[in-house]
Amino acid sequence: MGVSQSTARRYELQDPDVRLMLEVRDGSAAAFDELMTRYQSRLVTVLDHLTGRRELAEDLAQEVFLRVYRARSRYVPGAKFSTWLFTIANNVASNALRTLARRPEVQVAPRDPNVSGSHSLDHLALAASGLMPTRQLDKAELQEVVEQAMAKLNPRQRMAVLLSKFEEMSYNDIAETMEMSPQAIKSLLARARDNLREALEPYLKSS
Amino acid sequence: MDNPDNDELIAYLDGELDPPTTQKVEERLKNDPAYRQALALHERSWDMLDRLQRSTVGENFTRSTLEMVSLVAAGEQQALPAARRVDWRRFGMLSLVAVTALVLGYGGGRAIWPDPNRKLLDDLPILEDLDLYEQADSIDFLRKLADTGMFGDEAGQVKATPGLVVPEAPADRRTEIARMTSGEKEHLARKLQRFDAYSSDEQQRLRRIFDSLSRDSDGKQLGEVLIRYHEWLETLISSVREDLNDLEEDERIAGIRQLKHEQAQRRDQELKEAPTEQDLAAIIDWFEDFAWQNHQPLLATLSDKRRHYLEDLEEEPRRRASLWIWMAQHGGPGHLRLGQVHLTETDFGHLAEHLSPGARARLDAAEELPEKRKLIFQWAQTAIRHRFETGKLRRMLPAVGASELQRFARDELSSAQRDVLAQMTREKKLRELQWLYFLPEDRLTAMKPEDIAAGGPGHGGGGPPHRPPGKPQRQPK
Repeated sequence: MGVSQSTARRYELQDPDVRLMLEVRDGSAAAFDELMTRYQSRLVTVLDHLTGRRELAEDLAQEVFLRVYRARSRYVPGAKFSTWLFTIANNVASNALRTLARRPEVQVAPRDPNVSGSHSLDHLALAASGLMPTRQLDKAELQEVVEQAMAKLNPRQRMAVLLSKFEEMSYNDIAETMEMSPQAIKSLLARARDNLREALEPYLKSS
Repeated sequence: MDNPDNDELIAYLDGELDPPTTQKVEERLKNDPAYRQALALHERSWDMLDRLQRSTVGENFTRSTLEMVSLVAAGEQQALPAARRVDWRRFGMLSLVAVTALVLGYGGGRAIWPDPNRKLLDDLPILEDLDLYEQADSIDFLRKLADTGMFGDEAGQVKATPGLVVPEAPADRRTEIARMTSGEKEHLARKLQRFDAYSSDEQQRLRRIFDSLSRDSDGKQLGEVLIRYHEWLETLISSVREDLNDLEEDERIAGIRQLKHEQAQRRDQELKEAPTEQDLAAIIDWFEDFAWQNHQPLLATLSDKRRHYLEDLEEEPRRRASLWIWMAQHGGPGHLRLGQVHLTETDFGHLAEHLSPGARARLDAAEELPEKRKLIFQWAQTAIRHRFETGKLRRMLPAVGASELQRFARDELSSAQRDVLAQMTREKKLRELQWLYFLPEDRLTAMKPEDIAAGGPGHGGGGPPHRPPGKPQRQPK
């Protein structure tokens, strides 16, 4: 679907990152550098928590920037720049996760507890229940608890949560990014957060 | 809970409901304790996601990405007729590197444009606080904001406080830049690029704001208003901030008033289930007394220079310093954790003397010591959060002068730690420095840069920012 001139103009006026991307379209290397600076850590953060693999997250982030660069000549601002960028990221990540899921020997998303050397969710639940000596879970344990709770969500739920939490996107922006309706995003996020609440409830007292 | 109810509750927390549905949810929250409990659990489990680490990427990532882009660019050029090709080997390698070289090789670097060093020197104060100045539409807007009294003390007064020092003389500014770590210089280079990306009108606007704040008789007070406004903006989620920035000045001020009113309402609601404001103040005072009793051993954990600086302060700021050193040892910024502190019935008895009858009854109703500790901990967290939202947390900090903070950063932090701080907004950097200042020597040395970037250990729980339920009603344009 084409973008009207007035829509493009509105985004150009309102969003400094759109203006930077238009400069990239017009050949500015400095503008591309600046966009990378602004977004690289944010992208890697979301992709890392989506895939559970830092190296893969960086590879995917690089792929996103390459796609942005390749698309520059036909760029017309039909959304906030962040929405457009994370739409590309969502597509890149979805493709990667689908490919990985077809490889049965590869674990997708959940972090390998043996690699971190830390406890399973059940062990930590036991600690939180008070059946083990009373103590507060330390920072690393709590972080792992949250990561494991996130890993229990399916990829779409995880992506919606990450966009809401880390990018503070509205439902409309998440909907645009994930190519779903706002109503569908509302239900998706509600289910995801209900799952998270259920997984984290035993630890709310310990945190 | 039924799914439609759950969907609605989550959307309410996210500020995504229309006004009639928001009102319906709020009515139900007033009358349905189970619904309120569900909201609290969702809110708290959402806050736990703050534990997820935010990644930072290294120079290798940036370099390799730019190299890949260069290859793509080179490939595109090969496909063009020879006459249309440009030397794309420069792309991605010269742009950032060139500007960085400008700053890194300061005093001997390659000139990219006429008299670049002069430009950097002249605009250095604006670049240092670029995030701040970008929030101020105009001096008139700041004056209107100051007149509302929303960003003053309880009486609506704004006392001028000095910010981070930016030297006046060009020679001193040169020295300041020369002393920066390479990470700080690189961050300054990026700010310079960002500033240069603005139109000349926009650059002039930012310079005018800086000039007015520096020279007008009310400039210092307006500067403080700007700082507090910017800090308060951080308590909002980005979509709400963006909506606010979309509004014209007068509408924006009305929007700010509305949001602050909603935050105050939420705090009042919390206080109905918690002690009074006076109780919360008494709890903070009690913790301060507890820390003050141990202030000598607490001070001994700091470096000699920091200890001597704090020992020269008046008693009142020294008392507050003890509290912050104790928080640093046992929790995180704004995060009072009782940890290994052994509180006895006698300690709780001393606290109870200063509480309202209602709070005292609630404390007495907790039969076992662990329950009492938990209740006190929750109340202390509420107190800290309220203070953050009302801008009072900063005023709880003992006054460590800007020069001393800069000395501390230069002499006692590692290059890696300073590089992380350099990437923060001015206020966040100041807050982090003030927090790091009270860390014991061994913890300061062990503090990883990624922990500083993530807000340091112990962040989260009672710390800011807190998402207020509901978005401001968009004013019709």
